[in-house]
Amino acid sequence: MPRRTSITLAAATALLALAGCATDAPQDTWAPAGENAQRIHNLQWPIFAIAGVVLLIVSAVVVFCVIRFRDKGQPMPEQTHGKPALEILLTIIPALILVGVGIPTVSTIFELAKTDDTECVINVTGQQWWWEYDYPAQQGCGGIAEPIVTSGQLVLPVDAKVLLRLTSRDVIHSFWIPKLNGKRDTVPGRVHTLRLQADEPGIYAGQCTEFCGLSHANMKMEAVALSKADFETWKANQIAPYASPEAGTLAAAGEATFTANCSYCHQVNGLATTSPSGEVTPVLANPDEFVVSGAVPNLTHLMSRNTFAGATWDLLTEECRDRVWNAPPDQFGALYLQGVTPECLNEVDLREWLRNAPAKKPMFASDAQKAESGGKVRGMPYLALSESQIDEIIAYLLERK
Amino acid sequence: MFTTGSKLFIAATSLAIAAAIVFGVTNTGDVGWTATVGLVGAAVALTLLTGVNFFVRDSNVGSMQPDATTNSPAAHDAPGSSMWPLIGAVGVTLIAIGIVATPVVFKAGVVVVLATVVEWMVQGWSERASSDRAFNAGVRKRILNPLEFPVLGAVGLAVVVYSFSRIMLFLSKAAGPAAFAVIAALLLVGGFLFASQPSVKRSIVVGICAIAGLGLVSAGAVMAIDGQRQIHAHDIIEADPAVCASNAEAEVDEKGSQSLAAKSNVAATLYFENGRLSAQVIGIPGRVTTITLPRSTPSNIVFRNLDAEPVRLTANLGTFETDVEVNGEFIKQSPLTCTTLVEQDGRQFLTITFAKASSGSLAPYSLVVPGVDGAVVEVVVP
Ligand code: HEC
Ligand SMILES: [Cu+2]
Repeated sequence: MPRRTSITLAAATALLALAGCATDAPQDTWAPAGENAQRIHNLQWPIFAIAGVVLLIVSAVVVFCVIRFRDKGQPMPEQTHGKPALEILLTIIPALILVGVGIPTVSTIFELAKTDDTECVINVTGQQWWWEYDYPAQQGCGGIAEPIVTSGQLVLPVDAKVLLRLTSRDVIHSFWIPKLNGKRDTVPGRVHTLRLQADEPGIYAGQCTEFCGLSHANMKMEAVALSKADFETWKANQIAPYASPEAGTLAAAGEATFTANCSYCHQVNGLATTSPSGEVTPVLANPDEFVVSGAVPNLTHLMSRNTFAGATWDLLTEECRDRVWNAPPDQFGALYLQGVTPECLNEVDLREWLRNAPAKKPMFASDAQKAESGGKVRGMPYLALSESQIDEIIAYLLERK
Repeated sequence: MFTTGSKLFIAATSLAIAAAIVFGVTNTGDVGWTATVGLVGAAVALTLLTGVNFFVRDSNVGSMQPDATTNSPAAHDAPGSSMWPLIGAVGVTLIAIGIVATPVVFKAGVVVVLATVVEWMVQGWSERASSDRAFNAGVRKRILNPLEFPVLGAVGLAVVVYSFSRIMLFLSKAAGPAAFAVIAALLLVGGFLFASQPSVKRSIVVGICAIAGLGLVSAGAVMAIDGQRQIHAHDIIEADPAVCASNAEAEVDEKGSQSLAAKSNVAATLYFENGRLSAQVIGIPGRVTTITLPRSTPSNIVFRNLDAEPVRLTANLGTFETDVEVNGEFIKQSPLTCTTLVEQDGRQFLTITFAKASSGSLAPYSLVVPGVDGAVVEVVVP
């Protein structure tokens, strides 16, 4: 082997080995944090071990043969053909290994497909390039009387057997929180189910794992597990009535700016306009008229989330974010429920987003691209807001908790 | 000067000219005209052939031309017999019949003619490659086999699949699996027998396979002609237009009923039982009367009628103001969609897409059984 090649190979191997040492690996598939992922784990490591042993034996035999029987000018040995005993043995051994692997695999598949022990149902809908979660009215999840809609961060009660009902509004996406379960494709017109259960409060990262267009890489999601009590608090907050900003504040100006520029796409529940004669009209978004997928994140409680735009950017400054992510399980809930406080707001990314969203996250939303998609955008378009408008909107959004 | 061949052609040409003149003069009308054209055509063709024949002198080799013994066409190895003229003729006939009869025959004719053109051309070309027949055949194979094998394989497979499918459709639901279990077993046993007797004669194997193939194709043909078994049609009672047809989108389930894939993905199953309507949703235990469905994406709903009366399920897709203004009031629109009437124990399928959140509708979204008080399931679309 030439010297250069061996050095390159050695370096590549070392790099590969080093890559296994990452400490901050929130999407580690070997670190289950709930019973479904644990089931997969219990299956994958023995299989990995068996495959490893087979690999070792086969490689050892190959290497041995290559060295022992290399061409030294010796005469061609006798060629055998058809040794029934050997052939049967070599058929039976792999068959037995496969049966040994197959039985637990099939039983795990069935375990993971169960839906009848559900304690909480959440609808998950994928679209380019973010996830929407809605909590249907049900007795489960500790009782939900009024549906809740949110996006990016999937909040669920800890230790509960949660069932996701997954679908998509445009192309095929795939939902994957590695620490909680395997992947499941979301297909338009179909409803797939996926069990989710988290053992401890905390944030579990994931991302779309089916290539879905321009910003596939920016289509992430996070599962947020809260203790039962914290989850009740979160639910109550999600249906809390709308509070208009105090008159004369920056946020009040923001409400008007938002109503004029954003509300035809984004729903804020409870937002209304009052005519001079005192007539109150609720402001209703019509995303189906402007966006290909027909949906846009609901911003009623934007600041109760930690991330935005497909869980790709933080709403929290780095310091505050680390405090939440690294909180011990018993303190996590309280920190998460604080949402985004004015001191903790990561204004940089949000401002950039509002200034020019497609510049921050590749989206199919320019006028020319819009024409190709039947006059509708994929993602959030550039809205040509002035800096002062953005100031107002940020002040307004900060109150959407 | 007049060789044997040219005498024959001259006679035939004269006959054709004479016949054309006689026929043309004595017969009038369309038939006479067509026949005359045909005869004139024949006379022209024969004249041409006579000329060619005269020119090459029956392709006879003159004893005075020494190099003719090696160069004249007659000195070459005669080309092998070819089936392509025959097949080509069949193709042309098919085209002719197809033009008057059915397009399928016409298309088949075109395919046959095209295949003939390609095959014959390559065959003719390969036969000039050398004077060695076997080598020429090899040349032909090298060019055409990569084309022939897949095409013939596909055609063969199609015939087998078609025959099997006709047999399956002919047999009753119960007999089908039994018959095919037997056939499969026979195939397996036959395969084993052949494999265990390597000395068995090739001709016997080929013979048995040919008989089996023929049997399959003829059974398929016979059963195709005899028609398939009665497949129970789902009775659909004529819709009562008054209930749903006031709006354009009536009877959406016509296509929906066919979409098998969608049926395996129901968002909710609605039951009509004892005059009450309730819904079952994956993951939510028991029956409920309020369901939550996602917005802007199709939801598949199955409706089951457990009562004796035939009823239908109607979806109220909300009430919205339109842009149309009359006397200062915007006209409101309440789109509906519904299933056909469903008999007792019947089921129907409905695919609905709610484009707007239910909070945007002036009246709630709901699924109802029209005419039955209280048979309502409210649909919340967040
Ligand atoms: C044409 C429709 C449209 C308009 C108008 C619009 N947006 Fe958006 N917005 C979107 C879409 C689509 C997304 C999701 C993009 C993604 O995450 O990939 C989005 C995402 C967002 C997000 C992130 C939400 C989350 O939970 O991830 C914020 C914040 C936001 N928009 C604010 C605004 C503001 C403020 C305005 C008005 C100035 C506005 N948008 C106008 C379509 C729109
Ligand atoms: Cu995706």
